[in-house]
Amino acid sequence: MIAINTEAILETLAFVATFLLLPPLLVGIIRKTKARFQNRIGAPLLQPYFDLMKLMSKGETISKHTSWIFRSTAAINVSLLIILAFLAPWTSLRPFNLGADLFLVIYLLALTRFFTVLSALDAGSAFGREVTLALLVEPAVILCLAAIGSVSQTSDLGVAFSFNNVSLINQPGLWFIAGCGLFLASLVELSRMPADDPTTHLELTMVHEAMILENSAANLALVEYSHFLKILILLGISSQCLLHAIPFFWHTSQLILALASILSIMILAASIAIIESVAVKLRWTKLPEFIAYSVAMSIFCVFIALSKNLN
Amino acid sequence: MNCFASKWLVYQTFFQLSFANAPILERAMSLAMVGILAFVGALSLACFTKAVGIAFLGRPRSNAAAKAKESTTSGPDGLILAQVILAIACVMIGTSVPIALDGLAPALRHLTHDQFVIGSTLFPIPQGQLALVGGILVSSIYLFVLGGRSGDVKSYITWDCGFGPLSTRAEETGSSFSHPIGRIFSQILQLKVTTEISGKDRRHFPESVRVETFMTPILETKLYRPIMGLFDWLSASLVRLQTGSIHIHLLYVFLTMLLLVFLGTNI
Amino acid sequence: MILDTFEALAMVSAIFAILILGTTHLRTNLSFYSLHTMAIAAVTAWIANITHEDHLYLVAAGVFIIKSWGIPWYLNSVIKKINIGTDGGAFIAAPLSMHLGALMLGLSFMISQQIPGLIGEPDSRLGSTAAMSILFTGVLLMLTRRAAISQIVGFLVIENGIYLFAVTQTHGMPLMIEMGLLLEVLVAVMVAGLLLFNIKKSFEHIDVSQLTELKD
Repeated sequence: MIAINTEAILETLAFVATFLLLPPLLVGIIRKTKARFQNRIGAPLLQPYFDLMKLMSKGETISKHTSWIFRSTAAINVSLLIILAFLAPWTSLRPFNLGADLFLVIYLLALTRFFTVLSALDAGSAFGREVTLALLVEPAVILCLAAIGSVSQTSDLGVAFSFNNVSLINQPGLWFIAGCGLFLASLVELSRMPADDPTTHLELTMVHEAMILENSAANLALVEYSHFLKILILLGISSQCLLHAIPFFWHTSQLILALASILSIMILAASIAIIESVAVKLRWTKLPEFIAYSVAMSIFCVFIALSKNLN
Repeated sequence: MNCFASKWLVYQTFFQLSFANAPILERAMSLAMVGILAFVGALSLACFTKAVGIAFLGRPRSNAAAKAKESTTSGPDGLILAQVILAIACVMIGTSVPIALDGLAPALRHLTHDQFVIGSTLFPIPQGQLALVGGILVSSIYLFVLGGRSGDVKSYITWDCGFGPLSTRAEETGSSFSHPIGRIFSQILQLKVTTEISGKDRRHFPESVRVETFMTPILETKLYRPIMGLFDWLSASLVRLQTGSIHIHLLYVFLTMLLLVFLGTNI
Repeated sequence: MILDTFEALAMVSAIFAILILGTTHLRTNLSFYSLHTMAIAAVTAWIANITHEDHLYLVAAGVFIIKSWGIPWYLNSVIKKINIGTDGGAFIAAPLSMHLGALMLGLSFMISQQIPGLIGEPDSRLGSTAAMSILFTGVLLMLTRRAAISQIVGFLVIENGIYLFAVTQTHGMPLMIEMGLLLEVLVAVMVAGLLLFNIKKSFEHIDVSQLTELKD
């Protein structure tokens, strides 16, 4: 039997509240930083919450060519991502470990993408390009995580990312390179700037936005929210990698760790905004060059993992 | 789900090998296989999306497809029933992987000469429970968030970028879905696009635009045919050994260096 | 295995060298080259710290000033003057050649396990791995690129590889020789830059793959 005490319940509540409430704030941070870079004051930090609430109360318009798949995609995606948030090691303070298998996490992510594309195809619109990007990024993500898992000799990310795994303690290089690789990959996966311009209004240049063109009102709110959750999870995983690279965090208390992990996710969000202000969207044919950097990082990770287990 | 289970087992095999007590080359190969498998997995995801999306979703792409019906001559119920049974079997195996693996365990014991293989411990992911939780979550969100207000749902045409109603020709088709992939791997797939614009004032007011794409898998046309002409090429290339190109020259230097290193270290 | 600090730095420089391969944008290439050389200067300084050979500090400073600031700055101004931003085209696509470079890193690790060891203190297998991989990277760079600037960068990377090998295995040569080598590299790059102007003036391009036309 699991002993139920108030502390565990409190921790669980804090955990659930964090992953339910944090994602829109992250997007707020990204937008605010971008606005400051463009010399604007920008919308308040909490604007994404207001947007979501407004969307929930609006009347919905859907295309007449759609079927039930289109209607249920948003709900499926949100629930898939909530399950992922319980499984994936995006923060270092987790009240419980459900066993986040590496390949399970990645395939759940792939499943959300599958449904998003299906719903776009369902409405009979002319856009469906996101799959190609995912195709190129997938090996990089899996290889980075597999290298970490290979060093820690387990495919359970929860165990590999918990700060008491002895075989990973003196590996700042591995953690740092894996973190960089995952960050680059998640830029593409989240359809942020070098791959896709999230603020574009021209349909021809849209990649992710074109997929959700048909959604409106509560449906759109759910789609947006699931995208925010995805930002939280992917940035969380890469920021965890970077945190593990700093020896200081291996010897501190749980509370500092939890605060540090949330803070580092926010810093990554801000750095996304900085990248978006400085960089331009790459041409479609130039994109493999960018993704190649993330793949190269993952190859370096693999080398480190191989040499680590030598003799 | 059962597909994921089997794939997971394949992944696990390579992954476990990567930190097993094996020669470094084998371990490197196993991690490389993980990467390649990931790529293949993503490709197959794209393929499934394409198959499902193009075949079942959106508007019919042609008149013939619009009139398509279940075959009446061979008993439509039988056709559908067979598919349903297969689907149920898939879900059954997917939710009860350990039991299925237990069934396979005798074969495993025979193959590995290891008497202690227990099928049910090989696959620790509680897929059935996950699916159940997911189902409950989906339906609750559907009921409470979306279902409550199905009254004020308006129905309208698909967003048309402001050009007026989209015809079915503007829809995503099979070849356009795979086009970006072909473009990126154009070195292997040999994607060729020919565009023909006809009409008087061709640039701005074309009367008709005709675009054709060809994809020639380079591995088939370019790998096997050269073997036929290998001897031809060999004799020709002997003449071209020294063309004065700086790159060829550098290549010689590089290859000789590699050869010397290999001879010296006898790897 | 646990890396020494200088070995880690050598690996960092090897990784930066491989990242040069990843793009055909010349300015990015040069800034990666600059970072790569900075890492090499840091390796030199750290070895000087370990072995207490003070002249290596001077060499490190020389490498830092001349190779990682002077040469990229000069080449940048050349790029600006001849007005060519990107490499016209690579024989192997840039991402592919970067992955090839990463594989070369693995290969050079295997080679460096095999070569007869120079028994120095510190005896560094990883140092020679990094040096060899930088060497291979430079050769790949010269092999796959078309623009003459990339050829110069490739040459510089090869030179860095040889230098790193010498430093990690034998703790460098006497100060006079090191300084002479640095000067020679500087002069070589200057001459190559001048040649570039001339090539550009008489051919309107700097594509070395078309230099075969010189025959007739």
